[in-house]
Amino acid sequence: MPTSRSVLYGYHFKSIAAAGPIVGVITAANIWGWVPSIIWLILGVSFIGWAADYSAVMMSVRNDGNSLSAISYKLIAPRTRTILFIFIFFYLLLLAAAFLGIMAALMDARPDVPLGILVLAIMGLLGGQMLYRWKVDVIPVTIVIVVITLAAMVLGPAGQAFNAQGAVAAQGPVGNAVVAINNAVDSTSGGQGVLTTVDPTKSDPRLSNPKLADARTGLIKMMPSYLWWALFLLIFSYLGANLPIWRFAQPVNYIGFWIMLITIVLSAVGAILGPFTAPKVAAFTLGAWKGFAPPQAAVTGGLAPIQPLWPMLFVTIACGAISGWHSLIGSVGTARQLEYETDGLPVGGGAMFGENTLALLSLTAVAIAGGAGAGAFAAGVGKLINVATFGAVALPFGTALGFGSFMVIVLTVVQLVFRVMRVTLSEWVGEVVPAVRNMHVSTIISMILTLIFVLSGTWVYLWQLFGASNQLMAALSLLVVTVWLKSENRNPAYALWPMLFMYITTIVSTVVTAYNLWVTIIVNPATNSQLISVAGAWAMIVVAVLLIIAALFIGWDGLQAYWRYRSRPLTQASATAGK
Amino acid sequence: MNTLWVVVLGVLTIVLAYNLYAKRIDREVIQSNSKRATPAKMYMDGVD
Repeated sequence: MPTSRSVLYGYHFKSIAAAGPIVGVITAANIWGWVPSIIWLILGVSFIGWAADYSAVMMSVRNDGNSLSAISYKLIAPRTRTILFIFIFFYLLLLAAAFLGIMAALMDARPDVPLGILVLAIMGLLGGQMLYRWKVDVIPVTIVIVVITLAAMVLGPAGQAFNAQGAVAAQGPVGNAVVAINNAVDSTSGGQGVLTTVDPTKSDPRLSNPKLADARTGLIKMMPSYLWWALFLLIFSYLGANLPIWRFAQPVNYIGFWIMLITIVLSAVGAILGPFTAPKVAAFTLGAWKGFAPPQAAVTGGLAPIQPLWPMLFVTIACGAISGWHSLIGSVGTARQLEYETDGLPVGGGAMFGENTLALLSLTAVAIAGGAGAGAFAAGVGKLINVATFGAVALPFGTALGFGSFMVIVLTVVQLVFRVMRVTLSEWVGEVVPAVRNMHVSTIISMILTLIFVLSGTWVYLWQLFGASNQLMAALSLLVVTVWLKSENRNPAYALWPMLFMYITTIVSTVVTAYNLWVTIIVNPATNSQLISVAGAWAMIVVAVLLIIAALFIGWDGLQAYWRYRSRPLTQASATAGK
Repeated sequence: MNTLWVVVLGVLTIVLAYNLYAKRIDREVIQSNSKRATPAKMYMDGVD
């Protein structure tokens, strides 16, 4: 359906912006300092990010709204379609697992967050019903569903008591009810962890909860309640992946857009006012530069993981500078809704610049508040909201809202990830195994595989592997774009050079991550006796190798297609392009 | 360094990269044309 440019901008923006621009930037700023992070965010979005997103949309628009896989079948080689299916499926598996892992940890560690998410689901269902069945006008629907979701997000932390450091000392009524649920679930294992994990980046929100983590050793307990919240999030995503899009995924996405926008705008106001009204809050405290390859703590036995700035920074900062997920959602979703070709740039490119602002906000958050992962985002947003409201929203309360906002931003995308994942699986395997064509079967297979990765527990490598495959996905999308531009005798330079840079960077980084996984888990005496962690690490290494092989095949076939179009006279080339 | 500079850098990036570079590619390489029918208009199947 042709959709107006402003509505499509909001939908596309919320579909692309998730944990990537938040956690990735914060992790990178902690490892290498904020200066290299901000440089890559700005150069990346200016020369690579917007070009990848916009081109994927426009290529699909010019090719009857076909997906990347279908276009590569026509332009590159028939087998490219199958190889892309395999690549996309395993890449989405990493994406879903990396995001689900953070969200479940957050829900487990922060009893003030789940209510807002439960109400988001209910308001999503209500919003779809009101808009499309009861035909209520969009403005009253927006007010009802967004205000009620926001109210639930506020009610979650309401009534909390804080200690002198600003940490939660006692939960409010909602938090206490959630704690009771957690305890009931945990009693199934007698209050013991199912297994223990480590997070060398200290990003895991459970580290701040003494019940779930030992601050001295950094060992995190994976409790039954963690699995319970993972299951809760999978049920949420199941609705988003399988119900008709208007019934759940779209209204949830719409609520998410408003909550994200409110977060960004309020924080920006705080960032502008801060230097004048609260200079201490607004000053950066994080190190600007921590070296090209900051030394990492050695694991027992003397080996240490490595984090060289090139290539690792460029995959740790996932979606804020460039992302392959955008190309997928742009070519299968957004391109088919574009009303005018000239909307392609403001929607496809413009949303990428919008997402860059979310990444810059996350960088600001960690630079003024310190900390890691979602916690740094929440603490920074809490400070900025406190400044923006002239102290009306107290600091710890603002932090709680930051956590809630983070969850909403990420979960609205994860439901779409499972949606694209089940479609990819059924198109890839469905021809051979007809049962997989059933959407419930393909969703359940996708979710079980995701859970296995989440359970493996070493979150930072899962994240970097997701980042690498995500950026490699972007490179492959740019590769198809380059071949397409060549086939139409257009100048492909603006896509070709970014593609080469991302292609080489991501393949090298995938090798580095596989090495880090091997060092940290497989040969590490602290974890190498835990079957699940070791199996998970091996599974990730196998996926890493698989992704590299797939990318090499696509690169080789793409190169040949490129030479084919290059050596052909124009008329013939346009004939092959199918126009 | 403080928070205000990040806002300034962000706004500058959008203004410069979007207006000077992105718009030029859209005009000269892709040559987007508001009169050319998009897939949404060609099919109007109500799916998606």
